[in-house]
Amino acid sequence: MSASTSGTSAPAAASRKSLKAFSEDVWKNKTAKINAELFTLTYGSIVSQLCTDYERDFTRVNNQLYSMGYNIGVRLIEDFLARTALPRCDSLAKTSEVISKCAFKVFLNVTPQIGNWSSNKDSFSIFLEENPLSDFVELPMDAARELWYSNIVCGVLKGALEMVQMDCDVWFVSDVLKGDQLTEVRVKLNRILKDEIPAGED
Amino acid sequence: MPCYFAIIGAKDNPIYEAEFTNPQLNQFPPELKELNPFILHASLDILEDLQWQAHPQSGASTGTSGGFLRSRSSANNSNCYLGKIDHFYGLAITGYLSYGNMKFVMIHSGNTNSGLPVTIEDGPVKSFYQEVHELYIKTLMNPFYKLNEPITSPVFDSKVRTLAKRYLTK
Amino acid sequence: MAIQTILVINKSGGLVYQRDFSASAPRLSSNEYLVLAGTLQGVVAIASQITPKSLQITRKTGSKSGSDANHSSQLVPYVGALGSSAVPAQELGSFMGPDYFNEAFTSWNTTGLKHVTTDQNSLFLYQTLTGVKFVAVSSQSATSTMAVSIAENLLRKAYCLYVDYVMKNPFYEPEMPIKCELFDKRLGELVAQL
Repeated sequence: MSASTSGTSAPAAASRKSLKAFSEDVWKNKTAKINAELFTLTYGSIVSQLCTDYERDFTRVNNQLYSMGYNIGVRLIEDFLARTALPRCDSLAKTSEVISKCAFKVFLNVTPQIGNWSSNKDSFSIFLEENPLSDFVELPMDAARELWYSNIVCGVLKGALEMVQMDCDVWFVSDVLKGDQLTEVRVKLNRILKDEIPAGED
Repeated sequence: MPCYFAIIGAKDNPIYEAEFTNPQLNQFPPELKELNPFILHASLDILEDLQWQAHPQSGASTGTSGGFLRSRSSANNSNCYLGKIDHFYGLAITGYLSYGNMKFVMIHSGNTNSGLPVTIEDGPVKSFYQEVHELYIKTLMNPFYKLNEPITSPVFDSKVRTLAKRYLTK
Repeated sequence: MAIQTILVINKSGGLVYQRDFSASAPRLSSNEYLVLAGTLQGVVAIASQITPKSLQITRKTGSKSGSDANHSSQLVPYVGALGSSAVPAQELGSFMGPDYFNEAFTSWNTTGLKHVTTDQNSLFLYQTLTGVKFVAVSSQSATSTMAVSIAENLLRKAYCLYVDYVMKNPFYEPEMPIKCELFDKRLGELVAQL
């Protein structure tokens, strides 16, 4: 999901159809699905259990969710690539588009908005209008300040981007669960890990 | 009419209570107000009794008196509503039982202090219960809420009060 | 095409999986396989280094002018079910539908080593965006483009299996040797279909 492969050498799938239609197809026809409530409750029980286990030290809960996400991300990216066979993105703008229109679509069936680009185009925000992880959730009083309920998402993005040789920082800026207007995830590209790009790509 | 509503957990512990009044209409008399929880708890026995009857003959003709057990196989939750289950000096008490054994009970007081028995309009009361039941299920889906613990969420509270305004204290 | 051996090489060039599918496969010691994996890793890198710059430039300019002609060779056509009988959908793990994928795709490996052919054998290599390499050794000398695309299809399917049965196995540690029975089983089925 980064760097080269220009223009027409995009995969047949993505060049013929728009990325959106392509992702819709992958999501609809090539992805096994589970009940949304089961998914939400599973994630909810994990977070709630972590809060208990860490004696309501929410900073540690955030970190734990992040590292769980990281471990998911490094595995999930392979699934994403095997499913889509998308080419390497030639810019961060393209990467952001793939993340929102394809990755979020395929794995969570939502298409968040991308915006808030920094002036030097090295960071952007993902605005989650709906978040399937946090349906039904009301944060308890003591957690409302520190806990980033869906922090696992940041870890997943971090892990996945790292595997395609993009060293990024990913963090939550705001969350509707905390009473904010929007749920915003910030992604900042630190550098492209050029040494690790597999040989054979130009 | 003023109402006093409570959700009672499986161990007869209250997990939510609220009083619905309308400033334009009369209130619970202060001496009665303190008694409300006691009156409600007294009626729990009756509710538990009705729970296992095939044909609960509650005081009010509920129209849905098909019997709790008999209609258990029916897909909807219309049989959760038990109608008027008890009365106490002119106050009427209605009940609703979720499948998870959460008891929703409510005291209805008349608009006037005439001492005449209160008539229950089953339609709106039943709708109220069903919608609160739905809210309760949503609360239950919150990973931070534990079964049988008091519901402290202000959102839940305000939603229940909105429902009460719509159905009860018009 | 008789597949003799399939190897999986991780992104740092370590051999994480090796399996023989035919009795006639040459017996190499595990050490020799490790050396083979390391060598392939190096050869891919060297191959991309010695790809004439002129070729790379024409490809770049070609893409800028939007001509498709230069790239048709890069696109790997979809070969369809790789055998006589298609497996039922539930056999495909999380990949629904009749096959793992059903469209032509671009190989991520554009300038590196893709296949080696000798009189008796041929070797095919498929590299993913994350740097994992899937290698198949066939006992035939395959030079036709058809054989190459069949091999690429096969290896991409092996990648799909790797995703389902290796990466999604919560007890598998990334970069470590693969010891997943389900992966063994499915890969065997995939190769047997050929």
